[in-house]
Amino acid sequence: MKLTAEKVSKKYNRKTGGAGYFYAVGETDFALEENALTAVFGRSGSGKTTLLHMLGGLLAPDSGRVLADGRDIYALSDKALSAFRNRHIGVIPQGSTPIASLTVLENVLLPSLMAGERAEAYALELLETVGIAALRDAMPGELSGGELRRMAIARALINKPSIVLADEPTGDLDDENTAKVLSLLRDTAAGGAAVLLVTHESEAANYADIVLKMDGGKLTNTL
Amino acid sequence: MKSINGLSLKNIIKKPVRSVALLVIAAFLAFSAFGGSLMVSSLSNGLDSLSARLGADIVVVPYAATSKVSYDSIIIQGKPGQFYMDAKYYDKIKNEIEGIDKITAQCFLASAKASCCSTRLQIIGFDPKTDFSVQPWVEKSYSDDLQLYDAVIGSDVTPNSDMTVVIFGETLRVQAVLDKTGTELDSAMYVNADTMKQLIKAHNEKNPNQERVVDPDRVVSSVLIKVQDGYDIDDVVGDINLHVRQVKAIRTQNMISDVASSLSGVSGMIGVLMVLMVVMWVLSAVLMAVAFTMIMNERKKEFAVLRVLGASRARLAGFVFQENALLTLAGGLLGVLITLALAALFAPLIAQSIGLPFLLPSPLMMAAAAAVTVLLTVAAGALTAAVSAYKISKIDTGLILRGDNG
Repeated sequence: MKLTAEKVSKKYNRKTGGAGYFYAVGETDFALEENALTAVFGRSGSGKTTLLHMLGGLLAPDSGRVLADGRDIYALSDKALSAFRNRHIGVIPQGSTPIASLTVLENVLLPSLMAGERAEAYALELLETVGIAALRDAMPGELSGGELRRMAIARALINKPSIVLADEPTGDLDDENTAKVLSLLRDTAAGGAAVLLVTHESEAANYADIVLKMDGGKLTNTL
Repeated sequence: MKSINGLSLKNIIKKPVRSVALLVIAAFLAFSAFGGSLMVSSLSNGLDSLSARLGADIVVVPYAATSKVSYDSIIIQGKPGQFYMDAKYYDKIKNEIEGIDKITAQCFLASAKASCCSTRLQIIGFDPKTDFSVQPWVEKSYSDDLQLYDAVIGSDVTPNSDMTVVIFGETLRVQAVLDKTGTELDSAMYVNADTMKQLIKAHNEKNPNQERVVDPDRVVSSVLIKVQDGYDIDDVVGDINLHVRQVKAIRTQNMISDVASSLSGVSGMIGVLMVLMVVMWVLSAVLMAVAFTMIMNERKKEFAVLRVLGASRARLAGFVFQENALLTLAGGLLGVLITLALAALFAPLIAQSIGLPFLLPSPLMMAAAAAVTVLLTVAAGALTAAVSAYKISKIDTGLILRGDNG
């Protein structure tokens, strides 16, 4: 599935001082290619997370459109957009994002349960892949930041999405686990998915097919 | 967790402090609503039962009794005591006063100590032929005519093992035990006029030195009157007081108001209770709404994650409603059960302290009130939470996640 953004922009209101608002993302065109891992680098506050959220149907742009195979996802009803996200987009949000009342396995299974399935075998396979199979019955409170991040990756992949949007997925990981996660995203792209990785870690460039830079809300293809 | 429906239960079980806090608030809300309505309706029932039990518009007593004894407490509440007037006044009223629909006489006798009871016992004699006051009430427990030496007793009177009671040496057969009223009527005994005459005779024989010997064939204690439709009760009262000497006619309603620390006082109390109940319910509902809204705000990030994973706004509201409906349902039921337990424990105490029967509504009425209470509790809690969650979900998920990221 091809995901494209046409002249999308997003501005936020300033809480104090200066102009009333600022552009987190200026008018931007972007295409997320299938079978490829696209890495967007940028400092904190450069607008890369905002771009990812707009692509994931999580933040309506102030202008422009986001198209999935030519269909404007923001023209869909909330129910249809939610179902589309559940089925086709795997989002790995920044930070720790477990559902605290569920075990690791249940967290990973959650998107499949929402889709009316229970892909337990695949969930266990994913947990094995991200290296936390032994923690399947642990509660999120018992996991380290890195383990929680790996759980979120497994959860994003459970419905075998054709689009994966990863926001700083290696933020809390050591070198070994960083390599594992990047390899996993690389493999996911190789399997046919369109993968977007936004990060400020330069090592990710080694795994990416396409490398872009974001600065001051502008996307460029030069590092 | 087998399906997504298990998420709500997991959230409840795995967050015990939050769950218990919400459950307690819901229980308090239900307690204030159900407890208040139970209190108000029980007091109203008590007042109604007093009027209905007497069944008379006017009570006539010997004039002398009005200054010597608490005649009103004796008549209304069944407090042990006695007074008498000549039976000719009964005939005079019956024959000479206009506007009387029904008229009957009662005779009272207070036992010093019967074989059955450790305290004094009030015996009330009535004439089955003319009675319209005692029998409708007694018939709920005993529908046959009482014969000589038959008695119907209040719930606090304990008969002998052979279902007899011995009064002044006379053995009475207990035919029925009345339902509990929560007042001194529970320590009263009802007999027909012939039995009463025998008991007064026995009393006279046991007390040969008493100041005034009562002739059981010539006395009554009170006359009860039901006024004909179209006649004004106050006019009939005035007529009796004007034309029949040595007696005092009193409107029953006024008598009840004197006994029950004034009818208007109790009515006022019911009004205050109703206002208090509404205020308590509103405050509890506001407290619950605030608590639920605060908790929903605390859970913004959790909701955002669910949205990220594909939950629509409606589905998210559904999760939250299901979770909170389970909690408020449990809390509502707990509040109702606590109220019922407290009502059962304290009803007699309340009745004693206010001098009124504290009559709980029928089981059907209580079940209906309990159901409405639980529904209101669920509506106040779960709907607030679901609406709050739905509103939160209308904020772009990205903005919530961004806020979290700082």
